[in-house]
Amino acid sequence: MHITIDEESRVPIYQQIANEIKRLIVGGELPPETALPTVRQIAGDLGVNFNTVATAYRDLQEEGLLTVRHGSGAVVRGRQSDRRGAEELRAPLRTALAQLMLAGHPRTAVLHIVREELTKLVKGEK
Amino acid sequence: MNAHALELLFPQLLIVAIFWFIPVYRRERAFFGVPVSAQFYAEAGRQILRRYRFRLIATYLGLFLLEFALWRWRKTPVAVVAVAPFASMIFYALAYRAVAPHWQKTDRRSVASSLAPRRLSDYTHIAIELFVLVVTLLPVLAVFFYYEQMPERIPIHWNLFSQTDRWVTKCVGAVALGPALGFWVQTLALLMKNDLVKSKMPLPASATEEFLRGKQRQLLITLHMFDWMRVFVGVLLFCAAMLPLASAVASLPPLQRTIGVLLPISGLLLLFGLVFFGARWFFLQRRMDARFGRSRIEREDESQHWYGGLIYFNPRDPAFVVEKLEGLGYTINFARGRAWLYLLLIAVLPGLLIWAGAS
Repeated sequence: MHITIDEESRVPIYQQIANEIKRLIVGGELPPETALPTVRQIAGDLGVNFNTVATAYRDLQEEGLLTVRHGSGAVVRGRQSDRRGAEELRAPLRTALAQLMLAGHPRTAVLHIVREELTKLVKGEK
Repeated sequence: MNAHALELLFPQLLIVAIFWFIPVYRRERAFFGVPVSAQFYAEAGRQILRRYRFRLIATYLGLFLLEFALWRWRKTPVAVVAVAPFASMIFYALAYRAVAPHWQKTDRRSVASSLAPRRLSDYTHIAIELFVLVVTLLPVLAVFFYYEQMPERIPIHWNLFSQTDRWVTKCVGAVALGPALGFWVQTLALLMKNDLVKSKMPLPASATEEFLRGKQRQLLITLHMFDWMRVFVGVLLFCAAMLPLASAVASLPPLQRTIGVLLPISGLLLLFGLVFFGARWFFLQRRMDARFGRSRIEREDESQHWYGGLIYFNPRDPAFVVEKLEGLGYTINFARGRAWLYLLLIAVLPGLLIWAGAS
């Protein structure tokens, strides 16, 4: 079980880390009460600043997905993030769909892509 | 050849062998720790290697001859050859400097990290810890109880043929040095083990889980070897600490013969463990090199932070313990504050020796 970051992506590293952990939670690979490594361990392995990983953990804690234990890592709380409503979460999805259609993908192809990604997410695949 | 010469010869031969083979045991994947092209390794690299090996052999032979000449002239041993490892490190650093500009950087954008916590408790065996604690504390207690019963002149050094070749006047420093050394070694070893468990383990973005399994096995082999060393170095230091007491105190149980048997057996078992676990590490690394093309993942800017191929100083790397460049073992990031703790602990050793000598 691992997380991967792309050092040349426009997405900030802390967000990539948070997104990867969320992906694993959704896919069932990180069930509740699973212990995660310390900030120091992940920061050392990825070669990023401690604060980058700490920010990711903090954001996930604020979303209700993790409980951070200082000095001993974090623990997965649950699969449901209780911070944002469905309406708020539709906005980034709307943006991604618009970009796909602007790239020339027909509606059926976009639907296919969405179904495929959702299946992969639930199965825990990348 | 006398016992002193034999005592020095074996470890020096081992050091020469290490410096001889380390630069090339992974061929172009880690030529003096640097990943280079096959063409460079076969052509210009050969000249660098020949120059390096010539300097190595010439220095060792020269120092051995000098030591032999000094011993014949002065009739007392002078450990001139002890500086040879330091000279070897300088030659290695010079060769690294010649090779480093040809570092083949990997076009790597992504890096992965395992989400499995690595904790010291997961790699700790209570039986081993209890045994190490006992062999470390027993000499301390023995010195405390039997010091007054020791005669005024006590033996403190034995040669390879078990002949006492050095006596001193009884003093706290001479008697307590052995137990203090045992305590120091085990404290340092436990600290190192804790940091080894948390060593940096970057993973590639592809075949990640398979690579991770390989790295976890490497870590396990390293920690098993470490515990093996702690146990048998503990026994050796126990014997070294108890021997002056056993030789000098009549009321102690007859330990001398037991120690006489325990010492060589522990030494051999220690050696066996180093070879056994070293071989396991070596073959696992070969398999990983063959499967993934490498067994060590590096960042793009890492080459700037290795000095002489031996010292790693990277203030931007939060990791403290990292894999060595050549892939054989680990080293520390000297830019992290924790390095000072190690330097301080290492400085305790000469302090102990000076205190023992002064008392």
